[in-house]
Amino acid sequence: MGGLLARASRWVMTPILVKELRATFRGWRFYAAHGVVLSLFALILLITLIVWMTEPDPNPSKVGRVVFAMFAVFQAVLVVLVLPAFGCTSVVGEKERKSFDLLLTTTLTPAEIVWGKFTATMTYSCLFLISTLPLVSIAFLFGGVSLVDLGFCYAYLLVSSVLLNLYAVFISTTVKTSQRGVVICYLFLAPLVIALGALGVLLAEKYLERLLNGRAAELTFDFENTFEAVLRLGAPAFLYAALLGFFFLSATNRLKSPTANHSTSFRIFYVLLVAGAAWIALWLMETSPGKMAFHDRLTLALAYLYGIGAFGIFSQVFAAEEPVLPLRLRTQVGRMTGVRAALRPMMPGSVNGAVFCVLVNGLVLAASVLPLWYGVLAPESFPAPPGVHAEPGSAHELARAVPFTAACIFAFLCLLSGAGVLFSTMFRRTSTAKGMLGLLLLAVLLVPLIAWLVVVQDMEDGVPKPYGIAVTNLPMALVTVWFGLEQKPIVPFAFNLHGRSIPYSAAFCGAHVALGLGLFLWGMLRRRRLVQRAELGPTALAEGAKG
Amino acid sequence: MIETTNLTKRYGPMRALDGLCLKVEKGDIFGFIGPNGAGKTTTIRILATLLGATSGDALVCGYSVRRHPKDIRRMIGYMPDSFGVYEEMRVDEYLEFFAAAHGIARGSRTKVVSDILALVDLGHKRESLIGQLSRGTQQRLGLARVLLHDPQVLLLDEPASGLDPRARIEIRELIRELGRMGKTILISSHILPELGDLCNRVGILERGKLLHQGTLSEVASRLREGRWVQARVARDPERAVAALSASAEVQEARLEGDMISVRLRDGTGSVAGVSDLLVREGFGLLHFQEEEMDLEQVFLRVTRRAGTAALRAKPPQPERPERGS
Repeated sequence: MGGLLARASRWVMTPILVKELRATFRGWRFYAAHGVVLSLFALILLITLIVWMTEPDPNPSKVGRVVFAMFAVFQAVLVVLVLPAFGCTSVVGEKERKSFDLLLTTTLTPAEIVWGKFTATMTYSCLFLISTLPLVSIAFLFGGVSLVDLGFCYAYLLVSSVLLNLYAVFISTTVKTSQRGVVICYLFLAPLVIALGALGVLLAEKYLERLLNGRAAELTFDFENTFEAVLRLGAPAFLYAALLGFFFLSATNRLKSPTANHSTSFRIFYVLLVAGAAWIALWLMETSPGKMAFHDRLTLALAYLYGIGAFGIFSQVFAAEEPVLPLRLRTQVGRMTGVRAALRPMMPGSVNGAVFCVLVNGLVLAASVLPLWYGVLAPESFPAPPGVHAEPGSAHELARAVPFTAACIFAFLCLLSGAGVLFSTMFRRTSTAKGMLGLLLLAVLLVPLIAWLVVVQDMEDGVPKPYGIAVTNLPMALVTVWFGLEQKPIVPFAFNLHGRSIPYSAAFCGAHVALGLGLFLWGMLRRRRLVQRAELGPTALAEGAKG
Repeated sequence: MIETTNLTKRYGPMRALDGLCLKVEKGDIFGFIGPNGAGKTTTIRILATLLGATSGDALVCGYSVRRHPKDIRRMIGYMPDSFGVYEEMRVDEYLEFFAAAHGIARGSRTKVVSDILALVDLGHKRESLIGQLSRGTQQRLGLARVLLHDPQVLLLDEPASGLDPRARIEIRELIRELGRMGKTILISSHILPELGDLCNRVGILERGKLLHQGTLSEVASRLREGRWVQARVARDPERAVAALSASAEVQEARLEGDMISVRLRDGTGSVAGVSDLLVREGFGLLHFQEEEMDLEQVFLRVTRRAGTAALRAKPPQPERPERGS
């Protein structure tokens, strides 16, 4: 028992946390930043108050609500724009101070170091958030807001700052200078903020409506049914937890000894990710209301799987056993031709890692596209050859499912690889090329998220309307916007191209392959020009081959 | 205590370490010397489990750097050539932090810190802010830090670099004291006379290869290729060289300035025989001494040879065009 307590205390008041707090609170910078933020807050609230008080016939409860809303908005700005700055320089600061190696040669585990840094940044965040609390009491003078509002606001800010701070600490483990840490942290912040915003809207859509109507105290998580609860709360929460897990594991992995095992924790993570996503997908199908059609339920579940799969690939870029893109990416990928070049960006350094990641992602992608071809969802979108009568779910349909699945995976690989080849010729630094590929994958990840939001927003009595997941990734979004949907099923049957009907399947593969090939050709053209300009001359290529 | 087997580290096409085989026994103070870029720091970082080897393995206290990095970290105290300190912290807070990081129980931390501070003679600076300490005192604090968890092996990379002579002497005395306490110490340094004074064994590293290792006298005698004597005579040194060359006890004799260098024949040559000959022939012996090499001479001779060998082995390089041509 005593041993357990001692072990637990090592995680609560970690040596790193104690050290960070001592170092921070001995200096003047934190107090200066704190003072500036508090003064700004006070000024903004004061101006808001004066503006609204000078309105003719001011409604006190409305003034209270506006002041509270301003407070919440600026707290969110603080969490998003100011607080990650502490985290993104935390580990890299040790490197710059040349004290990093000293930490690594102690018996502190990488997880303890990351946890210590994270808890320190969370302490700063909490200090900032709590110290602004007295300012919001002005809103309570006027009424219109309740403690429930305040509680909800703070809970959401806390959830956001946990994710953003852990993300910032992760970034700080990947860079070599604080300056670069700050730039990269804020560069990739937008997708996370969008995701957090989406989570907020999913959770608080009804609440916000009530807040604006002055009935905020009625906040309850009164979901229409279990299905809606899973849709609004369970599924986003799982993705949130997956992001936290990914950032923590990645940060930890980067601090491990070069000879330590870097892959087992990630393999367990991927297995849990796939299993968890599959469980939620099944739950969505099981708990959906009776009036929702089977193919709509299935599509919703698959869309979720697709989103998680895209996240899996995104995480693979950063977190595989060795970098997915080789260190000498610019020369190596530039030297390769054909299939090898096309596949390289998807391959982690080790053979085991490559097999595992491709298998897992292949399974997720296959699981998300197989039933499409199976004909359960929208048989009209996969027309049988002329003269063949194919019932949905028949053996004939199934026989065509395998090549279509393979084609879809190949199309997806084409897109990523084409982008990889292009980026390899565009940037001198591997990290920049990786970052850009990561952004592309984030875009792939974000589109299903937004589609998810659209579906949940348009629910009627806890049941999604029969459309919404028309787009499941970026190329599909482009096709959808460009050509317009012919019909509005949950999955589009076909697209109208100058009066000709293009099946969904063909559009899916075509869009991916075309975009991927375009990027690949662009990359090859750029490479040729680089060779001509001797920036990537034969010597560099030969060195790349040796390396 | 430390043993490396064919340890190789590559950075792209460059080999920082090339099949290094090193052995440091328990209680040794092993001086690791070599020019810049020889691979000293790379070796020490691999031993400290901060860097992975491309091939080969190293054992520290019987643990492999590949398989047991965690165990090794418990056994070693690592001090890099330049390290940062937390300037806003006090000396005792700094040491208590690292004591906690090494898992020393809260109850015994204060005593451990006091003992270590007394050992490195920093007790009077206990409550000083680290940022206000001199470079030498910070270096002593660094040594105190590596001793907190009572490691068996100390890996010290250039511990005296950038220090003034007084601080250097203090650090040297401290290391000697640690050696007396039974610690196994691997120390790299550029200040060769000090290493020669401090270490009982040395290893000379050049371009990632260990050229020689052993006690200083072993390495020196191996390099001298026999025993050498130096003499100065008052009359006719050329004739003295001729007389010595004709002697059965002498392998080789040559005149270097006004000094005669004599290499004794293995087995038969004796120092007394040579001095007798010079006195007997009436050359007027002014100076007579058996040659002893200090670490600096050993180092220069080894690295000069290695450099010449490398130049011989290297194929001629095509001339590079001038910039802008």
